[in-house]
This record gives sequence, structure tokens and C-alpha cells, in this order.
Amino acid sequence: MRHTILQTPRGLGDLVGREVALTRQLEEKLGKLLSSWGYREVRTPTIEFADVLAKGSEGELSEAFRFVDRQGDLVALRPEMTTPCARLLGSRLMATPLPLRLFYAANVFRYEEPQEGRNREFRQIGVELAGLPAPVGDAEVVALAVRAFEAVDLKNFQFALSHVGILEGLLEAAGIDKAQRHTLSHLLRRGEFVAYRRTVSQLAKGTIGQILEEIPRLRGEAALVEELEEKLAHEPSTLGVGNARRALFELSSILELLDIYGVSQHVKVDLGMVKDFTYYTGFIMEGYSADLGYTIASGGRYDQLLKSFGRPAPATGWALGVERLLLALERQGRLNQYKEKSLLLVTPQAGTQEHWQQALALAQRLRDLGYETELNPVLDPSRALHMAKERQAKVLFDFSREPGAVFLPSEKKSSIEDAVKLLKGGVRCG
Amino acid sequence: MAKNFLTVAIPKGRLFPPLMEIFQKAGVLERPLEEKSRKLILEDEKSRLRFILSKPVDVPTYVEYGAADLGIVGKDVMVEAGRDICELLDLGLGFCKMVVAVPKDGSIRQLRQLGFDSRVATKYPNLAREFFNRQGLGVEVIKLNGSIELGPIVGMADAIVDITSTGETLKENGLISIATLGVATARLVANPISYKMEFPRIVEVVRQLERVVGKGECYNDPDLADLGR
Repeated sequence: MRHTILQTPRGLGDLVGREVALTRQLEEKLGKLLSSWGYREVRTPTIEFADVLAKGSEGELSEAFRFVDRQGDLVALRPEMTTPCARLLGSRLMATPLPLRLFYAANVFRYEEPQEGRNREFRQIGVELAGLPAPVGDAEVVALAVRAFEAVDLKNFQFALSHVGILEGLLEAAGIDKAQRHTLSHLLRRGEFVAYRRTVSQLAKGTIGQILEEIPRLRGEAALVEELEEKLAHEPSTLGVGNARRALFELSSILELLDIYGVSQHVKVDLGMVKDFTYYTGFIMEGYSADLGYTIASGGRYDQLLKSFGRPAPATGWALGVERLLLALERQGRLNQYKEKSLLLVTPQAGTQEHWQQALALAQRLRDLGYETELNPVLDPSRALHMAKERQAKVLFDFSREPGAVFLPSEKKSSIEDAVKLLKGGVRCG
Repeated sequence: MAKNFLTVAIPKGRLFPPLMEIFQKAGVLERPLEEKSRKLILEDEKSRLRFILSKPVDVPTYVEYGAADLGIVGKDVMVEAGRDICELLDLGLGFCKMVVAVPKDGSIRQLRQLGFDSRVATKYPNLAREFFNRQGLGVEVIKLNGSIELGPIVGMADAIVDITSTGETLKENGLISIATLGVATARLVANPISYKMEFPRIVEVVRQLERVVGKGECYNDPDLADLGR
């Protein structure tokens, strides 16, 4: 690809100033919450062996950045964090007793077509809860996700829940073969409901066929689960029907617990939900806000993944997209309270040592008081004020001529000591 | 966009009048909107719907970015755009076929005669490229924005990929169809998150419209299969 030296590769970008500060603030808030629920932070390598990462996606790593390292091993940039956490549970954390709660804040990489809200590198915060089976583990992570959105003051949000066993069981009950099941899940995931309904109406008849056709529209309150349980109660109990009923029961148990957690008002049921990752074995979830056109958080139960790392145990978790969450908060006007810290500017004369000791000592005092303080020598004393305005400093301490302070933007002059006194008192200046 | 109003992106042009008829019949709208109006946004207080009148190709964009909750768009435009949107209903309107057409007087009669040195003009470069790739034909695809039929006439292209409903335009320009990529009709689409957050209202609109248009035709003839990528 032709590019200039000022460009970054497609789908990758920079963060500066306020963007970085906001990211950090958000992560601190969330980190505090997750720690308080007993989740321990982990960091894993950005690059892992491709076959390790592939454990999470049935051997496919089609979306990962893959390359060969100098020893000839195929490695990849992690496309998600659940598989690295699973590897960790089977290796360094092997002896740590279950249940074990982990959380992470990490950049992940996916070689996808960049679109609105979808970059090739993005940041995720997520949790993994290993060793607690359904429904208790699932209810805990959903409740924690609700608390996470609340902690950052997101409004207007919802979590949708389903269970992979419901659709799988129904498709099985309808006698639909594996290849066609795959096609149908793919259509549902892509939101191609017209093609989905047409295909399903040809493949499945009777009550099961009707339910399958309606699945994209089976969305709403917890009562939906009961209604479906009711309908299936009259069906011959084949293996598929049995699996679907078990999944529905598990989902309704999670919903009941969420009621006790007191978060039901944020929770919906969405039986047409299909996830990208193949490692899910139980409940699945998505979190979003009315102010953003794509999912902010996503997760589910994966009871088989840990086994492939030698530590068979049930596990569940979720991840949220940091950039997406920030965008939703921005649209809701929740980031306005963020203010750039006041900048102070100290300007000694360049090319001499006159007043330097005084200037350096003052800069240190201001920094100790908690102010962001820049020390920029000026050659031409008449440039000092200009420089202060240019970088929107609140106070200029000019040592390039007779030492003195200038408040901005009023340009009110004062002695250095008076200005420091004002700053010490935390008086808003300018 | 403000609460309570569902925003619908509607394509201006040939689909507009029949759409209004369906919307009215379904009870979604009390009276048809005025297409000739200079306003780009129209509101219907009673149904709490807001309409964005847009160019057909822009509808998927409005919907994907969430500027519109719902939209109406031809399957051809939708597949070409390849955006993350939910396809809720086949409205059955604006039936057309996407075909490969070549000059009637030329020597090409079969797809296989198009090779790596052939050029294909189209408004749908993504669809065309993918179709020829699947056929294992490495043709060069040239994107044009209108009057595709000109391509072969002026000798810039050996074939075109375009939509045709009656075949009249092809005939007038001395072209004949040698292959069909699929068929397209107008679809009701939704932003995936709107579909979830505004589900009760959206599904009501879907059911209202479905009562008028039915579930749409189901074609067993592979020649009449929906376009897809």
C-alpha cells in the first residue's frame, strides 16, 4: 500500500492528551470496582503462539494478525483475552484454588475491515470467573457488568441474555444437519433475518419450526423463557428438545438470581442472539446503550475451554470495549466534567544562568503543589507572554526579565509570591 | 435523535410512491409523505415516525451509523454496501435481477470467455468482483457511477454487471444478459442496536408491514436466489 510517513496502518490510530486521560480514568474506576469484587488483575503477552490462541476458535484464527517469528514459530497478536486467561489458569495459576476471578485491561488486535466503532487494535476490559458453574457464576458476572456500567455513569443501557443451548437444541430437534445449522447461525448473527426465515421455513415444520422462525423476534422480558418452556413441554422429548429445555431452565435460573441481585431492570432476554466465538457453551450476553449503534460489552459461559489447557473447570466472563464505552459516554454528555488541568508556565532566559536557580526552585514548588508546570526557556523576553497564551497556560512566571507573574487570560500582573499564595489556596485563577 | 421518534431512512426515487402505499395500507402512516417537499426530514406526529429522505445508496450508511433506526433499501445496494445492519423484511417491491451483459453483436456468449484481459464496468464493484472471483475469472472491474451501458459501446469494457427489471434498457443499448448474479427487492433494514433497544416498536412496524406484503416469495429456482456475498 502506498502511504506517507505520517500515516499509520489502516484501522490503527493514536490517542493523545484528553483521550488518554479519559481512558485511564475510566480504567481506574472499573479496576477499582472489579478488584472490590475479588477479581485479580493479570497481564499477558501481546503476542502468543497461534495454536494457543486458536484453542478459543475451533482452530480458526482467520481474524488474527499472524506472522512467523525468527525461530519459525507461527505467532499471532491476541484477538481476545479469554484464551490467554485460560492458558494462564492451566499454567502459572494451576495451583491456585478455584473459584478464581481474573480481570484485565488489554489491547487486542483483529484483522477486520475497519468500520465505524471497529478498529484493528482496540482496548478491552474484561473479567473471567473460573470454577463457578451456572447459574451462580453467570449471575455474578452479569450483575458485575451492570455495576460496571453504573460505575462509569452510563445511562440508558441494557444487557441481553440468551443461552447457546436453546437455538442449538431447537435446530437439533428439527433434524437440521450440522452444515445447515452453521448456515442458519451465521444468518442470524449477521442479522439476515429474511434469508434465515426462508431457509428455516423450508427445513423445519410444526411447533419447532414456528419457534425457530420466530426466534429473531423472541426478545423481551423473562416471561418469554417461561412461555417457550411451556410450548416445549408438549413436544416429544427428543434429545434436541431436552437440550433446549435444559438451556431454558438454566437461563431462567440466572434471571431469577439477577432479580435477587437487584439488576433485573437492566436485563432483557434475546433468544435470537448468536455470538462470534465458538467457545461458548452456556449463557451468552451482550450489553449496549441506546446512544451507540453497536455492542459495548459481550460475553458468556465457556465450560470446555479450560479443559484444552489441562484444567477442566467451568468458566464464564465478559469483555467491554473501552473506546466504545467512552464514545457512548461522550454522546451522553458524561465526559463534560472532565477538565484539562491548569497549566503553569515558568520561563527563564535562555542562554544565561541568571535567575535559573530561582526558576527551577519555583517550578518544583508548583509541581509539589500538584500543578502541571512546564519550564520553557525563552531567548526573546517579549515571547514569554505569547508562549503562555499559545499553550493556554493559567499563570506565567516570567524570569526572562524582572521576575514576575501574569495571570491569563486577564493578563493581570502580580508578584511571584502573591501568585504562589493564590495557587496554594487553590483559588481559581485566570 | 430525540426519544420517542423512530427514524426511518427512505429512498427517494422510483420506490417512493409504492412504499407510501404500503405504509399507508399497513397503517404505519396515516397519509403519504410528500416526496416533492424540499424538506429532507419529515415527521409524522401520530405514528411518532421521522423520515429521512435520502439517496438510495446512502440508506445503509444512515442505518449502520444509527442516524436512522430503520431504513428501506434494495437488496442490491445493501449487499454492495456490506454494512452491519439487520435485514428484517422483504417488501417485495422493485424486483430486479443483477446480470452480466455483453454486446449482442460481439463474440462473447459465455462467462468463461471473459478472462484476465477482460474489463467489466459496473456500479457494483464489490458484488461483481466477488462473483467473478467465485467463478475463478480474474477480470478487471471498473467502477462507473451511471450509464453503465456506455462501457461496451465506447469500447472501454467487454461486459457490464448491472440491475435490470424488464431488460428494456439492455436491449436498447444492444446488450444481452449471459449470467444472473441474483435477484433483489426492497428490504426493511434496522440498526442492530436499535432493533434491540427499540424492539417493541420496531417489531410492531414489522408485523404491520408483514400483514400487507406477506413473508415474501420463496424462490426455489437458483436463478432467482437473493443476491448475497
